[in-house]
Amino acid sequence: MTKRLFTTVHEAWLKLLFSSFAVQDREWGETLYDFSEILYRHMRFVETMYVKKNIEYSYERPSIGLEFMTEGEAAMYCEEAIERLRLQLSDNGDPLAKRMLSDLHYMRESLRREFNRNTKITAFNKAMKLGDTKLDQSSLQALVLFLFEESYKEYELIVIYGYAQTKVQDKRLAEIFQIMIDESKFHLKSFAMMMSKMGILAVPRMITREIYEFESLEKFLVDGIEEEKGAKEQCRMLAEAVDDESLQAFFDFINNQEDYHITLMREALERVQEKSGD
Amino acid sequence: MEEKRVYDITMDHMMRPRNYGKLENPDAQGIGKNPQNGEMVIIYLEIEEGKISDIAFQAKACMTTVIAGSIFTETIKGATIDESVELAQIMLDKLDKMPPEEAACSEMVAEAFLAALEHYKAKSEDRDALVPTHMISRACATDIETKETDR
Repeated sequence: MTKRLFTTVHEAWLKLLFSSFAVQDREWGETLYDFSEILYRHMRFVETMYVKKNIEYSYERPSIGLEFMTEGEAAMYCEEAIERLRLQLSDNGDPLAKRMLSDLHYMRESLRREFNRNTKITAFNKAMKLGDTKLDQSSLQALVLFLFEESYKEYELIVIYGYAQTKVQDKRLAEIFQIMIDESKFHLKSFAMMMSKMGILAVPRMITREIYEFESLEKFLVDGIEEEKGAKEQCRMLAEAVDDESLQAFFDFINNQEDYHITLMREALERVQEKSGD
Repeated sequence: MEEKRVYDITMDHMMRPRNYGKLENPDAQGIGKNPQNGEMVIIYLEIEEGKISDIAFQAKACMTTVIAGSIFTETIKGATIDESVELAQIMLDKLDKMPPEEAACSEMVAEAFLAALEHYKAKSEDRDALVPTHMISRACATDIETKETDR
């Protein structure tokens, strides 16, 4: 397995993930989402192996454009991403390579059966409408900015917690990071689905090494708690700004979830401080 | 109509930021930093025959900074050094007319670029010249944004 493999599987994960948010057929969208989750696990398997073998890897990657106009083209776009990944793997008897190749073969075959789908994709048409929800211009602008900022933040957290998880020895810390990854995945999905409905879906920009390779876990957690507080405040302000009950309820729901994140992060911080003897 | 056109352009840069990332072997790099909240922009340059042949930027900052970086880098790619300095100066001269948060973001981009040019000149005398950081003078984010980005 090559070092390039990590970047390719990272790209494939994001391509399938955001395609799953873009398609209109939600049942198929959920299948694509499941496929993207398989690719995410591939990425983490490869990462664990690289860490074990002391091989350098990077979460940095090229920009990803979502270049398709119909669901059939989305299937081709995803299939191409998987094929690029498959070409970098060889069946050399390695159990991980064998598992990945088997998964990729199944997903490719499934995607090929969807090439004839004709439904147009509306996720990038910049319609700026959220179903029947009526928003005034300032609420709309606040919501758009929030969705771009927060979809990036959630992706950033998935990357940072994933990277941190492979570096820590403490089991409870690793468990907390896994919970945070799962929570961020849910938030990312919620925000991206909203962006898709509004016609402004986009893959977030890459997370640079300087951001995900933190120097101090303790400082990272201290700052992270402040960030969670900031995110709570953002949700509260947005819930107040938008004149729509269902949106207000959604942002209150996200806001309340942040409370538990803060509790978990405080627990993680205490464990780190105990170990460092502070 | 003009407002809609500006909004469409802005949205396009939000959805597809241009030149975001790093250059493999840049001729120069520069950093623009907000000392108040730690937000920063890094600009990477490749210069051939006095022209900006390639440019990339990274932002540890808010979306407004990403939009400013995307528009700025797209505009100066291919320009001569003199033309690009002029453009950066025009951007800096207009800061007073912008809302404070936008002004700080644009200043960070322009200063990162000027720092990169400073690095380019310094490297002509010392190959190992350090990457310069230009601090910006304007305050940017609200308290909430500051906490969010100050990692």
